[in-house]
Amino acid sequence: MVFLCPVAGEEKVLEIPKRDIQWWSNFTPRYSIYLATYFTMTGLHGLHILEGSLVLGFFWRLGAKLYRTNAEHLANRMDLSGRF
Amino acid sequence: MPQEKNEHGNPMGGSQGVGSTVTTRESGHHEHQIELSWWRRYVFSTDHKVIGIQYMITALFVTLFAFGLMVVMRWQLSYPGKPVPVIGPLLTAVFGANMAPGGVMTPNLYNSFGAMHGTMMIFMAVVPALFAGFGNFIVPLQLGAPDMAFPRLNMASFWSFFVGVVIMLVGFLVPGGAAKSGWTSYPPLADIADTGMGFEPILNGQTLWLIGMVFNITGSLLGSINIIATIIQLRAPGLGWMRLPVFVWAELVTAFLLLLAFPPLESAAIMQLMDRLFGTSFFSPDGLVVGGRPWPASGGGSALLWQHLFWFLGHPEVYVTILPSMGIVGEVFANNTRKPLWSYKTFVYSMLAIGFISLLVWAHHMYMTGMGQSVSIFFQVFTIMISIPSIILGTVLLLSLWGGSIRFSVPMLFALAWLPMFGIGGLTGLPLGYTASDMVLHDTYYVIGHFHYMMAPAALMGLFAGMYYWFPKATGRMLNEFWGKVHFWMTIIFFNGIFFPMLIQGYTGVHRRWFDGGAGWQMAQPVLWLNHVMSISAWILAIGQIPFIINFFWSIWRGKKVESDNPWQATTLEWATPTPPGHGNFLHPVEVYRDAYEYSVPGASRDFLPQWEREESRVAEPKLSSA
Repeated sequence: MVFLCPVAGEEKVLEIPKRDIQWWSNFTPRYSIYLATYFTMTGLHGLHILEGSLVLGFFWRLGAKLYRTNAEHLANRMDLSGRF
Repeated sequence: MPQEKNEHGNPMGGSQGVGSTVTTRESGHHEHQIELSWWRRYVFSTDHKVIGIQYMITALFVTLFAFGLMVVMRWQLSYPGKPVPVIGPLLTAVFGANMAPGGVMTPNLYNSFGAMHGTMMIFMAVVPALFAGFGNFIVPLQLGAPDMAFPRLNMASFWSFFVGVVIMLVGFLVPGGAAKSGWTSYPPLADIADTGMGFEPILNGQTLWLIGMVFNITGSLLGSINIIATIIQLRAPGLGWMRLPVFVWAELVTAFLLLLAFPPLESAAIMQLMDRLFGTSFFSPDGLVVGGRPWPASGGGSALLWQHLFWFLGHPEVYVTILPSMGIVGEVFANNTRKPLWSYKTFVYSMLAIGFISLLVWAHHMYMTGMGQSVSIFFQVFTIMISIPSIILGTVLLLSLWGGSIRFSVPMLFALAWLPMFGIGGLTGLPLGYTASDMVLHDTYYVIGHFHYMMAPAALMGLFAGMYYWFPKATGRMLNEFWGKVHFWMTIIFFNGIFFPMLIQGYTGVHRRWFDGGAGWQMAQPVLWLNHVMSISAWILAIGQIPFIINFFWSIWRGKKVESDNPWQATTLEWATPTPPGHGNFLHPVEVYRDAYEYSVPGASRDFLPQWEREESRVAEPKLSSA
């Protein structure tokens, strides 16, 4: 594995022996800005999905009681939580 | 959540603005008082007044704490390397012998105190107190609204903010201490700080700073949406835009600034978090070498990007702190001069202009980064341009005094002192706005003096003015006037004792981040004595707040009771409510018949005509509505 490491104006090739490398990948956020952006955005999207699933799951199980008493109220709540 | 169904008597939370399909039952406010548990009433409350008070108390506590950090730092600057008296052993006990051996501040401790003082004061003290505290409590009252537009969102924003504060404070207790990269957290320094030996991967100062900021920003964003929606939707009938009290206008502009400026910092904070936790390199440049070894990141990021994202928030943030303060001062001026604000419309349009231009000046914090001349000129032009509406605002307030019969009440004293503080803060900013003179003054104590004049004396004068002015509405009792005046004089004199010498020191080139001076202080010998002036002022200022703290708590329970709902004979709607306002605020639906500041109207029998009175009232003095 080879790093280009400019120190004080000079470029020096830094050799890292293979036994010092635990693992290496070309597809992690560490590898490049592109993948960093990609994984940050998909990660945040994942959190967003998780959060939405929790809210929907909440309405599905615990909101069922509200559906029987006041369906319109539940619909309004779903509407609002959708907006946020 | 069946227990939540009727707590407002309105499933949508007492708003007229949303959910028009819901049957509204919000007009009267006692017909469906459902007793809430203590927790729901005072802790997890959705009532805007309780949330406003929660914000205010949290923010005042943080102010005191962050001021305490500064008091300790001032000791280090006056007596470098000497053990801190009184609380020295406490420092050693809390921060460990590494950070404070024998009660002496180490550079790391000094840096963390400096960074946390800035962060907590700006993001968790001044803005929550002025924007969120007063905003939540006063704005719906001044609009004649029963509550905020989204009460439950309001609760969410407070708790998000509160979690942010707690996470920030936890930073002090983790190994290695709190964040120490300055309140601006510039990478690559902030990327590499608090990592490696002796630091936890997540529970370290800088990472906790970022997580705390994410929570705090989320809370601010939710709060600003709420304020905007409330002001647009929930104005009482007849309350047109040009009849709004200036404080409401100030809150509206501030909320828009927060809404537009905070998201870049939120994303930047998440990106820096990624840099620290997952090894990305959004802000790590190519070939970063730390301690003689290459930094393990691919590089290619831009450290300057952080500065742009940070200051895109950072500059509007200045106006976020000063605009609500300005609004409060406008209210207090009109009430205590007993005449309308001189040219209300100019005041409003100037605030709008400030709000707009403040989004175009951020890079004047970055003249030294080598952005290039044309960019610098752009930002220089807008920076200087923003002084025009600021001067207009100051002039409006000054002219409002002319010919008024001024009551020198405690709120008015603070509001009057606001004016010169704002003037000094603004005018000392001009040399920093020009690129040429900024080159010399950059990162000196001059900068510190300049922005503290805006953020500390000016913003806090507004805070105290509002506190003394609205305290009777919130509690039904007045703050003690004598101790208020003692507090005022102690505060105004020693604020200047702290910050004016900073301007002088900065002019001679004393650097803002020097911990004990070192060799640099050799050149600063003639102005070093000012360090003692500043430090002693800071300590006396701390003592000067004791009358306020005692007065505050004493007056809540023992203060002089107000004799009417409108103790200051004011005209705006918050004084039409019972004292203190109950849930739902108004006993009867209010309508607005006139402009916000109808004081001393010729021909009227009293010197004020409240907005809510159609005819001039025959009653000489309104009484308590509960009496």
